[in-house]
Amino acid sequence: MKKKCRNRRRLGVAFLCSVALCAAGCAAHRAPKPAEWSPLESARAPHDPLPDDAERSAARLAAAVLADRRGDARAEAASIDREDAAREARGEKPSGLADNAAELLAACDGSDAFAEDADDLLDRDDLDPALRRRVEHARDSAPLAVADTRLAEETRYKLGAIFNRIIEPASTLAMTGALNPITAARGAISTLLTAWTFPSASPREREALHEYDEWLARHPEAPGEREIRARADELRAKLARERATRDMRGAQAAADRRDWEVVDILASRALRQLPDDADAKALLAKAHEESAKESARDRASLGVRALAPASLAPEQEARWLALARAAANAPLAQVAGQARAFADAGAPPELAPTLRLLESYEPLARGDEDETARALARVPEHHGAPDTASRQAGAALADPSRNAYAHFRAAESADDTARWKWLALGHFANGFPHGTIWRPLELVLDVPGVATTLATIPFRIVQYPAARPQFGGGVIVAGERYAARHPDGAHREEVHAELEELYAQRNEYAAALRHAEARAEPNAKEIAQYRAKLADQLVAAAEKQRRTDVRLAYLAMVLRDLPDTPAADKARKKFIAERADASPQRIRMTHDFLVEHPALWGPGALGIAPELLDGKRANGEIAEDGVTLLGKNVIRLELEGHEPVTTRVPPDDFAHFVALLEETSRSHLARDAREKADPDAARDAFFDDTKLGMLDSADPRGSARSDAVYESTHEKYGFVHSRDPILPVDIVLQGDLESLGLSAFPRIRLPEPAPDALLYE
Amino acid sequence: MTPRGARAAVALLGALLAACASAPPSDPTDLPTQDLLEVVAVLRLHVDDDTYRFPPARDISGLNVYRAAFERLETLEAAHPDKVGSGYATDVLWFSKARALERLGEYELATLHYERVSQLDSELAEPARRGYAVCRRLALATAPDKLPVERTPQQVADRWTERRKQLEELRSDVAGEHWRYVVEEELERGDVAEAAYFASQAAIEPKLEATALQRAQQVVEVHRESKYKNRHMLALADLYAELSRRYARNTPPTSLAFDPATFDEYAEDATRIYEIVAQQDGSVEKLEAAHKLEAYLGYMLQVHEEKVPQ
Repeated sequence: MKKKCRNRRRLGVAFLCSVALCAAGCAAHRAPKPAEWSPLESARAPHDPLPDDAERSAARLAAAVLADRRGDARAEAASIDREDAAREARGEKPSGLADNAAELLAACDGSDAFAEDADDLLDRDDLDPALRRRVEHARDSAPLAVADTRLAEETRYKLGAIFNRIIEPASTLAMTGALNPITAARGAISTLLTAWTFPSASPREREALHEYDEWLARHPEAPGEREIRARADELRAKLARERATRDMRGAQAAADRRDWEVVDILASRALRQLPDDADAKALLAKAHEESAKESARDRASLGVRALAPASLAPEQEARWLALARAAANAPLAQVAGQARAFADAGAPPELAPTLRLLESYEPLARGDEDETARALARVPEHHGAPDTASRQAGAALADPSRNAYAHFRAAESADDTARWKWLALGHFANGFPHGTIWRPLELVLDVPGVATTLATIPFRIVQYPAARPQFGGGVIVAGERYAARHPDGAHREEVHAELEELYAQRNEYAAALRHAEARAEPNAKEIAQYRAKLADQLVAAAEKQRRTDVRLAYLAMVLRDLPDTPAADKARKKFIAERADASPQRIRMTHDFLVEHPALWGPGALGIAPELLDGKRANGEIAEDGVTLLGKNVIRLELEGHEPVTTRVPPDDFAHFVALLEETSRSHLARDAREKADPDAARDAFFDDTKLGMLDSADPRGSARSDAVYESTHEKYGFVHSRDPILPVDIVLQGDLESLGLSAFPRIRLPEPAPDALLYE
Repeated sequence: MTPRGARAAVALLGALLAACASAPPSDPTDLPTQDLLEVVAVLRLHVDDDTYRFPPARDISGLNVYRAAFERLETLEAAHPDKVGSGYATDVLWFSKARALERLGEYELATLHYERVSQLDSELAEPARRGYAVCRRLALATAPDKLPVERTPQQVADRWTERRKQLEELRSDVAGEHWRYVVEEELERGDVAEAAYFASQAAIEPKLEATALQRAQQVVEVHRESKYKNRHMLALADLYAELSRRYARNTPPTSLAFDPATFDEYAEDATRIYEIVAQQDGSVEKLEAAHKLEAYLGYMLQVHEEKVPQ
């Protein structure tokens, strides 16, 4: 009996479990709702109402303006005003076209005069916000307005910069001056000395000059022409002085390193800016003189003193000639042997360096790099007279490619020194830095700072692992030279090992792998690590690529060349997913964007069933990812809790939808100051083709695909509309471990550089 | 010591000091080379250099070592016409000049010098005959086309193919000798010239654009071991950039016919290759590529802005 009861209980539990499982299953996979089966509706869009009197007048006004019939245009504008007055009298809303009519009338005078009419337009209180922004933009982008704005910004910038330059070191001095008085005082003094120095022709002033010139070219006989020309000339003179100063600075630096060709170019350029500059003239003359001397030296070095040495005894001449013949063609070892024999037989002393040069061919013939270098180093002889053969040995030793190992070792040594110096001396590693103040004073101010730098050695030791990859560039260049010149060289193992380590430190795993594989006994474990990291890098790089075809190429590289790495599996899955998901276009509108703009998905556009965007999941809902345009007129709808649906929109509706979408973007751009133009040529080309009805074939090229995303306002900017602070000041708290400095101070927010500042730098 | 003697001693000391202070010994780089043997010794050091993969060595004066050697040998010949004319060291001088000339691409002149040495009673006559044979073949294979303008692109391509065939045969014949580097350089020079020909022809005949690109890519692929590999990549990037500019000229970005994808296909390849070269540490082309990339990006921005006005 007990057993029966137990069985019954078991059956009950099993039944309950199966019911629960069914319920869970149903919750996870509910049946699709009608709108999800058929997400597009075939309803037609209602026709637009016929135009009213004001709209007809506006059309006639536009035609009159285009045909340059100003009288008719004014009459139509007056007609719109009358119509609005009548509507007002009837208690109706105005047509909203009067502001557009005013703008059209202002446009009659052409773009040059529009900026002047803009002020009258902006005085109107009935301007549409988008129209107001456009007119303001036209007014503010007129040449004289831009010039005035830039010059005002420059004044604000200089005043703000002086304040900021003074307040920051003063704050450091006040707060932590007692802790590190030397550095704090040095910072304060040097800043105070340079606080008033600015470039004499800043990018803003150069832009102002450009705008003045633009205005003068457009208005050569305008009333204010003389004044504007004077302002432009003043700025031009400043710019010439600035350019000449910069060129002369470069010319002087080139003269210090005796690079006379560069001095010639830069000093000539400075003279073109300031034709009477005495310094530039003097430097140019010096450059010409030194260049002439260099040419004379080069010519002299190409001469030869004698066919054969005059000191040769008659019995030595035949031997000398035989050696010359051998040197011209015989194998290197034979040449070296003959040279040694000649030296042993008592060749004239001035021939000794040449004979030693020839003797160095013996280790060269054996391929003994080190012995060749030693033999070449033995060539010079200090016997008082200028020795011309040893200079050839010197040239061979100085060649970083031919004498690659010595240069590699020198680069290693220089790198070690640089690292030690950085650890010990920090930013003094390359001597006292050059600032903008008088050099002797700068040195005096800098000397005490060395003590602080020495005290902060522990900090740099901690930072060293992260800073290590910044070093070793010269070793890599020299090592690669050796590896290329001597693939089977005596030191290849050492060089490959060093390069492998340096590249690995820099996370350049392809190069590290190349050198690891080139070693005599490749380390399988390290090679596997490099391969794995390289595969990871390629997969990560693939994700950053905009074009699908490039992404696929990266993934294919992993699958083809690194199939045994852990990342290969990930790459395989991504490759399959990318291929399966490939589409000519990938322009996406999010769910919230569509909700924000119902016209885009209503009848006559995308025609999506309204249930899918009413926020109720019970009757089906488009997911957050929204709707994607896949190319031609194909769209994909992401659905909450269901597989996406791919469908086609009727071509006419799709073209209408695209036109609405572009209009929506433009409207946003015109009204919202936060919106920035987002150039996307592939997207625009697709939209142009769609509007022209060219939907027969999709462009399969990767470069033709756009991945543009349209998001709602709150997705882009959040729900709270942030405002610029009223006061142009930030409160800054900053510290510096190396100098043990801490400061807190108000910093004036400086004007941002103009969007096209790059063109004036 | 008498006062006169003291004055004389002081004057002598002064003169000695002045002599020590003035006229420091000349820098050896400024001085003429000692004699023929030194010139030949330096030249011999570089006869076996692989000038296809690595840049030619520089002389102490900074000049190409073969050019400097040739200049010095010319100087000697001009300065000692009688001695050289008498047969003293003539074989060495002419043979060395031939060796220098063949590295400078002057195969006709090298042939002439080898021929003259081969007619002398010298142990250099036999190697000179070998040099003559190789340089003669090089001269024939690289002789300039007398009818370049009249030929169709196909005829030009056939001519380059024929030239390449001759040089490849020669390369296998001189496989173990120093001339193999000279032949490889000539093969490269020919490939580059052919690519440049098609690049210029494509400006006139757009049908040849694909051929021009294929030839430029081939130069990069075939000569990836060359010392000029970065230069070849720059040439390919320049061609892509030029094709994009040409496309934008023929189809202005503001026109409805402008296809951004076509422009981008060229532009992306150009920028990618410029970027690769701009990352080659230690090469001169790095600077050129970095500046070209910057300039080209400026151009690309302009095109995109014209297409999508802000």
